[in-house]
Amino acid sequence: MKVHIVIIFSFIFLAIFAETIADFIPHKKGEVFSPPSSSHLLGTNDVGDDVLKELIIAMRVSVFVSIFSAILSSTLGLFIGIFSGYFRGLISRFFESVTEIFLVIPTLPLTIVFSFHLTPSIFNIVLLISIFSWPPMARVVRAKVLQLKNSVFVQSAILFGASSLWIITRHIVPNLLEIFLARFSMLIAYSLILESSLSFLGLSNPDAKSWGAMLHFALKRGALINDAFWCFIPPGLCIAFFASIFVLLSLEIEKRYLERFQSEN
Amino acid sequence: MVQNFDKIILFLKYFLTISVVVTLNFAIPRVMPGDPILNLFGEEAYLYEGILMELKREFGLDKPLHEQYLLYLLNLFSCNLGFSFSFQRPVSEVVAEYMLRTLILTIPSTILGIILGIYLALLIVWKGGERAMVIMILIYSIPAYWLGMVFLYIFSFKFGLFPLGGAVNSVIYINRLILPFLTIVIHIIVLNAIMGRAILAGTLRDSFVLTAISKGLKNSLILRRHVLKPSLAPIIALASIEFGFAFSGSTLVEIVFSYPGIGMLTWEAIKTRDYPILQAIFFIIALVVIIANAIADLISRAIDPRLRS
Amino acid sequence: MKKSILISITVVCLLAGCISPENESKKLERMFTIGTTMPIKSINIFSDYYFGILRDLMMDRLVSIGEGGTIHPELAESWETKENGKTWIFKLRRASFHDGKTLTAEDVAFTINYLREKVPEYRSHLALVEKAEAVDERTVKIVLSKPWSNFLWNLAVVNILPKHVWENVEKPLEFVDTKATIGNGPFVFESFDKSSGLLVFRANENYWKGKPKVDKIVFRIFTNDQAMLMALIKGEVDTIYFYARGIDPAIVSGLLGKENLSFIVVDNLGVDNALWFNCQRYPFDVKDFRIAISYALSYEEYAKYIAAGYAEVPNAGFVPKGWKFYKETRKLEKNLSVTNEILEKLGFRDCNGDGWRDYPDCTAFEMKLAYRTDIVESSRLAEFIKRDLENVGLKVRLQPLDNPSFRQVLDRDKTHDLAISRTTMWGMGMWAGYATGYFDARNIGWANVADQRLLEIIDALLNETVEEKRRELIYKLQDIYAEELYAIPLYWGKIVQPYRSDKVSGLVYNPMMGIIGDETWFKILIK
Repeated sequence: MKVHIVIIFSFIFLAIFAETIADFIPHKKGEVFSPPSSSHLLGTNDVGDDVLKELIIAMRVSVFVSIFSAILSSTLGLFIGIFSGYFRGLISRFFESVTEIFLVIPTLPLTIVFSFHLTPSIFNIVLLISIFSWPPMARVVRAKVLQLKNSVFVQSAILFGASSLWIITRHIVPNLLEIFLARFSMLIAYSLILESSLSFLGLSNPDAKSWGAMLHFALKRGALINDAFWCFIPPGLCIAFFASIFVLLSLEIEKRYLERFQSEN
Repeated sequence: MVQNFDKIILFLKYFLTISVVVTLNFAIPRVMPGDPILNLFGEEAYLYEGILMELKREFGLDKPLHEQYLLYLLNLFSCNLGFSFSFQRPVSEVVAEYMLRTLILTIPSTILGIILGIYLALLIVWKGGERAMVIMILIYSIPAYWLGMVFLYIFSFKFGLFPLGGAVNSVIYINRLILPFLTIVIHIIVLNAIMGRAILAGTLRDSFVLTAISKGLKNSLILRRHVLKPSLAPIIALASIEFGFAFSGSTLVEIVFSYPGIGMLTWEAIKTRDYPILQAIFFIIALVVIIANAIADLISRAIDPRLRS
Repeated sequence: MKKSILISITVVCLLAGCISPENESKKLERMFTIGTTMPIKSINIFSDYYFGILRDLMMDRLVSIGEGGTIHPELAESWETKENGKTWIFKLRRASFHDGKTLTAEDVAFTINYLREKVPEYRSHLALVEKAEAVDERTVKIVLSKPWSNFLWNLAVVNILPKHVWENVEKPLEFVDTKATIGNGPFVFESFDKSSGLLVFRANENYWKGKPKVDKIVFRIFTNDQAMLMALIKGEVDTIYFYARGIDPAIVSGLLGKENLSFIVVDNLGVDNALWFNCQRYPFDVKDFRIAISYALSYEEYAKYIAAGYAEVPNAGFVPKGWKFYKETRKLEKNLSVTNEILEKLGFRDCNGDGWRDYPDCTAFEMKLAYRTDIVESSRLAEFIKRDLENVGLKVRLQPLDNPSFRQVLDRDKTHDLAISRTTMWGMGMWAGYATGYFDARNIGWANVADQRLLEIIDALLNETVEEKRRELIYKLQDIYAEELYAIPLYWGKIVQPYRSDKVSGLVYNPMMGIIGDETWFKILIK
């Protein structure tokens, strides 16, 4: 697990300092679709820009969008999950229905539909992705909260007349942590793939290209026909690699959690 | 008495869900900017004063929103899914046609994917494969459309084994399905392997498996009776949800392979702002997923007595 | 053992039999396979815009458009005009429909009246028609509500329908019957299979020009343009087609040197990409501001990176070379000092030191640049233009729009500041011709010009049928374009049309319809 964390933090570090790092590569326009060479390590794309430089700058966009979307959607999912799990009656049913409705809606078409209404700024993309990815978190949190509610600690706290807020913050949330982190990690991977799918269809922010957008332009302007695999392979690999790191992290967290659970019982 | 009240609340919940879904289906396509009527004009047409209003009147799009909504509801209840602007055919016809093409692709791949995926999961859980998991996850993280393009490039372009979109001879239809099938099934296998392993690993930890092992039972018997069977409930729940999603098609894969399925229809309908088609698609998918979830629930409860509360 | 070998051989033969009949029939008939990404959905030429583009295959028009934007007779053998273009009289040649019935003036008159009344797009193309009537069996008289010298240009998109098929059709947009494809054109519609994406036409043996030199046309519809190009390279299609454009020039380099691929390269008579100002908005209504911007653009780069070298730097007169009345105007060039000088003079200075020029009253200035996201060259071009303008301190906000949203903004709402869009060849000739339709706020008006100077010339042109006088007016038009720069052409591109030289030759690129124009069908050679 330590390995995972190290890799992730180096990604984040690279992302934050992406521009400075990318500036080491001179902004010289090369020939269109030229193969990797000493002046352009990963070759050039359809408008003569250095692919490696674009890749690094795109990393920042992809990383930021996926992490912030995950943060937003996890928080939303956490709140809704706690609400629908802890409280009984209509409020709970209401949130349950809302969760189910969102789970039922086909995500990609819906995000596409809404993207037309918003200018594709980074903020809007993050918002859009978050609105449609919170349900799984809410569901998982709710299941756990229901379980926790029946535990001895919570039952006795209720009997003692403790306020809901106190119970939630003291007993429920701390025990949710592992599940939450595991899901959060998955959400980062999910947001990344969703964002790259939208960009691939052309619905991305033109000022800040992500890896998916790089794929879009590579494909549409004939990288395949020109046998310019250096335009096409690296962004795809980056997406796969980055997403898989987060999924692996998520699994690691779950494993640790289960081991702890086992040893406690 | 309490039981009845609970049932009523449950019913209300489903009712609320469906009504919201229905309303959203109406609202969402109309949220997009851009006029569907404009698509009837080429880029060289001059739209003189009032022509769009005239056409709107003809197509019934000028009525106030609440009237359109009521009309939509009425049509829905009489199972009339409306008429498509861009196809000039009843929506039900168009959607049925495209849906059929998608299902030909997704149902077999879902079935095969689940079976192979769970089998792989069993292997991994029993033999212990950390490395295998990492590979699975890496494959899972590869975007499906990217994989599809790579396949298209290698197998259709470089090796010329499969058609590049559209069949030259409609008789040889299968040839066209192979690459998209491969792309989709790989994803499903890997997904099920990952999810399946999580479920099976959970079961494996339960103490009664240890009892079975100490009893000296054969491995395959243990696997079948004590690992697989208790895990069946969540696995089947997962499977029915996956079948539910088989109906929404994979938009990006269909576009890459020029395959006219429901995913591609959704994309086209969005591009041309064809409201009736979008409404119908969202509604059908939502309905299918709700039903799939309900079935998953029922089956889980039926198979695993522990879940019956 | 022997039995299983026998069975396997039989199975293989059967399969081979499934595969080969097509090859056999290919030797007997001349088939032309065209790949396209036009998303054809139904066989109604009115409601399906893309199928409608193919209507010239099935139905003739009165006149057609050829080299340089000149009008040529098609169904109309000859014509005359009275009252400066208010009345038009056409003499028709002998022709018959695919179902054998003769084409008469009744059909022509019917078509014009019917289309004008019932089909949206034609209500605009034929808006000025008062009535059309058959004078005798082969003479048609069309009376307009006011003189329109350019009426023939509109008639070039009016394909003649058989009256006996359409006279009882109340809703032409919903008529999706094979009968709806009956015309008198060189080809007869045969079949459309949506699941395999195949659209088939057969040659019309009784076509008045003679039988086309190809027996069958098969359109293969792709949704993935890369897959279509791969199919071209592998020879699965003989050529590709999309209305009013060739392939993305960036792809050409990947096709050069591939076996058996040849290219037709012609000058595009439309403008591939132009920067349109909304000339009724400040500061785009100020001529000097537009001129300042024109000196900030890197035309050479656009030609190199967007058009991959298949383009030249345009002249300010907008209208590309190749048009009959083309006039040479000054070449556009990049000169940042001119830009900066003009902007300073107009008062657009950086008041607050944030690096961006502000309005003369020192409020923040930002321009919106609208472009279509579904045309990938537009996206790239938008990036380049933004970079060029930001170079001179003008802040640009990109406004990516998909087709419907773009049309809403540009055609209807006119809420754009700057926009990137192309003109088609036919579009250039609309209204009064020579791009006037795109400039004049009273027509499509992407440049939204309401400037009296321009409008007067346009009105004069609409009333002028004498050739010499028209030439004068059109020269004046180009001078005004060059002076005012209501829209800046970004490059004058070439249309690159690839085809398999081992399968076909003799393709002719008609300036309006491309390779599916009439000329091709009589010069084509299927190998």
